[in-house]
Amino acid sequence: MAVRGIYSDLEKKMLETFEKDSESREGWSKPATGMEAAFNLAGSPHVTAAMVQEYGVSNDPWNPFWHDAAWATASRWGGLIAHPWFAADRFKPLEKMLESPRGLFLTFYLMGHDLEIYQPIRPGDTIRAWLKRPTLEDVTDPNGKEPRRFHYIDVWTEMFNQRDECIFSLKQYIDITIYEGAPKADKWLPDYGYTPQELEYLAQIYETEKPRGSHVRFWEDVNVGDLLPPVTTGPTPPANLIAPPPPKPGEVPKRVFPRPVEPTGGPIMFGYIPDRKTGLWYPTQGGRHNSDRAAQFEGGPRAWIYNYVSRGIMCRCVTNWMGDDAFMCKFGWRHIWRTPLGDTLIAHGKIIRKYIENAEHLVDIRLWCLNLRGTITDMATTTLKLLSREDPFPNYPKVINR
Amino acid sequence: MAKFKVSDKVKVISSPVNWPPVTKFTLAGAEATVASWVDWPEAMAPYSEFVYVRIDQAAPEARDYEGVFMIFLEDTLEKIAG
Repeated sequence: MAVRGIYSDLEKKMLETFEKDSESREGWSKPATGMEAAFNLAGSPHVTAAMVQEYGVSNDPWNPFWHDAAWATASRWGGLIAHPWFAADRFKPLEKMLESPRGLFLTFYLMGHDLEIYQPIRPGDTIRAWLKRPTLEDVTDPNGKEPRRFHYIDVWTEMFNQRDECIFSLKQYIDITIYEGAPKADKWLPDYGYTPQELEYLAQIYETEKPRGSHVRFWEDVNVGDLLPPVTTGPTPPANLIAPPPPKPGEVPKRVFPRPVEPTGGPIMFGYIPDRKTGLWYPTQGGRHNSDRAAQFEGGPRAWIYNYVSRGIMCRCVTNWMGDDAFMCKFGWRHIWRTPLGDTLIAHGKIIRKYIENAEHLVDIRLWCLNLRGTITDMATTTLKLLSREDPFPNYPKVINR
Repeated sequence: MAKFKVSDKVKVISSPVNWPPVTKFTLAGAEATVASWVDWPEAMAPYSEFVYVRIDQAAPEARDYEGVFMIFLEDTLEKIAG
């Protein structure tokens, strides 16, 4: 077991590597290539309409505002603007996990993100990202009886456009545990079996979900305590497997057979999972988000959903409600329960604050995901800018040119 | 977690807000211990009304969740010791 601030030789080596790595990562992030591109990071700094539409379709196909240029043109914005998570998912620097040496085993919870959006991102924009130095704080329990724990802030990023304006910021929270040996798997949770009545209840939420669209949601019409219509996702399926990067043009790709390598930490997404008792190796089958074996090797109860599933429906719960002319200024969320594949989540929202700040009419909304087992799985807080009836709208200048 | 502190013993007294009316809430009456798993003030301060607990003793139909960590809104919990 570990003592806060006192490190073994293996840990010292790990921390030295982290410090060197952090120093070299700080700064401008280059466009993604190779495996980075396989994680859907943009390979170019230029935002195109196709990128905005593709992202909108893949994250919220049910709201045309995020992908239908004609629909978006008939709004305050006069054309497509990017979904709130677009910059985070396409332009963030590649995240990097602490490298644990042989003899230690690292596992982690991605605890969530805080993002702030200062202006809409539009096709034609150029985005560059500045990565602040990642930070690692030793928070090992002082009693000396628990494994090593760190709080890790990675992809702490500000993004700038072609006019040198800061348009977006992102911070990612990760809770790391390092074991001397194998982590003990959390208690197995059985599959959730649904009654026909539950499936019909979910179907009603699913099929009545509708974005507000062009019907303006005015600030004056909103009250603290108002509940947002719920949205649901599930029963959640296994995620698509991450595809290897495409070959470079003009090259015959080298064939490399994946050989077994003893994992020293998660996420184990490729290669093999060893069985510590038999010595046999099993393919990861997509890792912690697809394979119970891979999840348990990292200490999870069984394969659990990707983070974007729960943050996605909490975000959609808000963007459905706010309408096309509102703007999401902030979205922070926490993801601290490992939802098994096959569970269903229902996202709820409640207005918790209504105020005016810097002449902007704002509301804060608390969101949470509930599953049918009875636990809250994820929570979020968002700030929206709404239009006010006090401001004449639309209020564009008449341009005389005749 | 304004109403509770780590190690408090609590009881689940009601179903979550907007609980599906077609689903029996099997954790009512469960006894649990408030946990420190997410003891990260910078990250968790905005979420103080959510309470992270370990289920110690559940109703017979919810035994699967004994020993499992779960999250509840503080208004659905009552302190029984601590």
